[in-house]
Amino acid sequence: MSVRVERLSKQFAGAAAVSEVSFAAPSGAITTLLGPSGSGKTTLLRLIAGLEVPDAGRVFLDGRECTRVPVQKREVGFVFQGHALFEHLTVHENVAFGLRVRRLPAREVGERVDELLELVQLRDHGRRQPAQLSGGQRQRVAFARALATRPRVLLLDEPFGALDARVRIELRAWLRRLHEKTQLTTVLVTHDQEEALELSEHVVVVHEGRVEQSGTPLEIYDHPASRFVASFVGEANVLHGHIRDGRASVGPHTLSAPAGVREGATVHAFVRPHDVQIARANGVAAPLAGAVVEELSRVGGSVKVALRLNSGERLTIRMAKGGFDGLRLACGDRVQVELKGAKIFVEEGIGI
Amino acid sequence: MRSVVTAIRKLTRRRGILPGFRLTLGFTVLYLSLVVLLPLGALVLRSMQLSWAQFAAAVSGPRALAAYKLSFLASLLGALINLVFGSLLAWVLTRYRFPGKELADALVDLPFALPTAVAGIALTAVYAEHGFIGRHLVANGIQVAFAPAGVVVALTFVGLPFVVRTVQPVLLDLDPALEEAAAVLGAGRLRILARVIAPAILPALLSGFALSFARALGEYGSVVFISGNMPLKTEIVPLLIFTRLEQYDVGGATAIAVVMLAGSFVLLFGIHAIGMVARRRPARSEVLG
Repeated sequence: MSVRVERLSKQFAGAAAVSEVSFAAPSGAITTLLGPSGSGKTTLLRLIAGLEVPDAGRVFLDGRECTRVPVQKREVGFVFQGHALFEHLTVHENVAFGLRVRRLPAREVGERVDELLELVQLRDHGRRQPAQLSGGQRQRVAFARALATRPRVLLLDEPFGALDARVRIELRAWLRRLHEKTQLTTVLVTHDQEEALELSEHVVVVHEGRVEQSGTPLEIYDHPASRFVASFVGEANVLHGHIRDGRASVGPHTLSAPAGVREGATVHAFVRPHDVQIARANGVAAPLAGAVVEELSRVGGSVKVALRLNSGERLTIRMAKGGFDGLRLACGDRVQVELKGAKIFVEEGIGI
Repeated sequence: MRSVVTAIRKLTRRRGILPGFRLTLGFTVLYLSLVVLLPLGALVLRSMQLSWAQFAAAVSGPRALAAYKLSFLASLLGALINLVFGSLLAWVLTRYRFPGKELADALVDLPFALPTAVAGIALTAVYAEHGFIGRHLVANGIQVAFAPAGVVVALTFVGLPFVVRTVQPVLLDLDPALEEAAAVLGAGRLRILARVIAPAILPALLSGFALSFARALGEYGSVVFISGNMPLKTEIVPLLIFTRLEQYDVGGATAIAVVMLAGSFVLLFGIHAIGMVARRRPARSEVLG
């Protein structure tokens, strides 16, 4: 069961929310639509569900076009950010809602609901009211309700967005296990890149209503296709420089640049915080690739070091506590900086 | 006496952050007593100056019985009509955008603002034999003005804003995701209306209904013009009370008023109780971490 959309467009009050988006979510996998708020990712999900009607483009579920199929007939499961449980019904009746719509015999309904409450580990909570559950439990009921009707696809709209951080991480692991059991094709919308990278086999980065890049989490992280992706997915420092002799010259560092770029063009180098190595600048008064330690903060097992480069640009790096202790750094110390890796983007248009 | 004091202390001991529970409760009781209970108590006291036989005669004459029947039934019918069309109006005002919506919204409140006598005269003019709707109705054998139907029309008119104004905010607050969730699960519009929206607005519907009903029971000004006030036929209880007072039969007037009061209280309390049951939610303290 796969999901595919083709050149999908949707405008709200004249503003494009989604423009000409095409992507495919492979069968049996979790695909994440990742993007900042207002990027159009939720609209995209709602278009797939049939909660919105596209202005142009087509939606395919399992290879069959269903652009004009009403939401009731799409056989999708949808989990909303704010659980959207029916407060006047018990947990049991919430899960049974879709089954009762399908007029299943009472015994079958009961069995299916029990099966699902077992699956979401809320077996003893059937007779409670949603208001009696915690946020995480409520969201699990919402999952059970969406799964009860055996949907062909599961669509999740920031399902953990309204929960606190600890519960969010717990539920993330829970969703992974759930998916391993159900193997249901899932499309997850999130703005949380950690969630996207951890949960999904396939990531589609959405920005301003368009797809910026799609691929596996590692591809997206290691080979961002655009400056937006490089800065949105994972932490990154941006250093500026120019193309000189066909290579990117960023301060004292020279990095390889894509072939065929114009001499003198502006270069943006995206450096991950762990792709920098530093050493103490012993004796050397002003080392070539030098920097001054401006700020140190320890976060759990790693240390964040903020450096001011000789060029005046700031660079934040992250190193393991062990390595940091060996250096015995303090604020104001001079260090030698080596860039182990960077992603270079050459600005099109007029260089200097 | 001491045990009563400790019992009250126990009842009123609420550990909250906001101070003044006892003060505000005391004020509430005092205020309700002065504004509501004192006049009502005086009414009951005044009616007690009658002997039982006098009281029974005053409240159970055929004229009084006919008036109770008309007042309660017409009010109930008016409130029911308002329940249906008021909730429809609230629905249209919250769910759709159309030109003139603000105007329509403002119109809903007019029955609140208009002196009811003016409403009565206007309704009579419209529904009387030569009025602009009345003429067609009479031609078809339907008598509204100077008939029980006229009473219902007037009571519907004055009670309309209550249902609209209680249901409207609840509909506005209703999370659209609830309806969407039901739709994704396969529910059609009617099922969503019956299983998702109706239960959510039920308490508001009930209190709108109760308010509209209560308002209709007490209404006097608009009804006296359109009903024709024929004893045994189109005479409502408030008018009968007024007639008794005009005849210097204060005892009889208060006796009828007491019956009216008791009946209204029982009905309103009943509606309220239904609302409480419909709204009953488990206590928040049972929430599990």
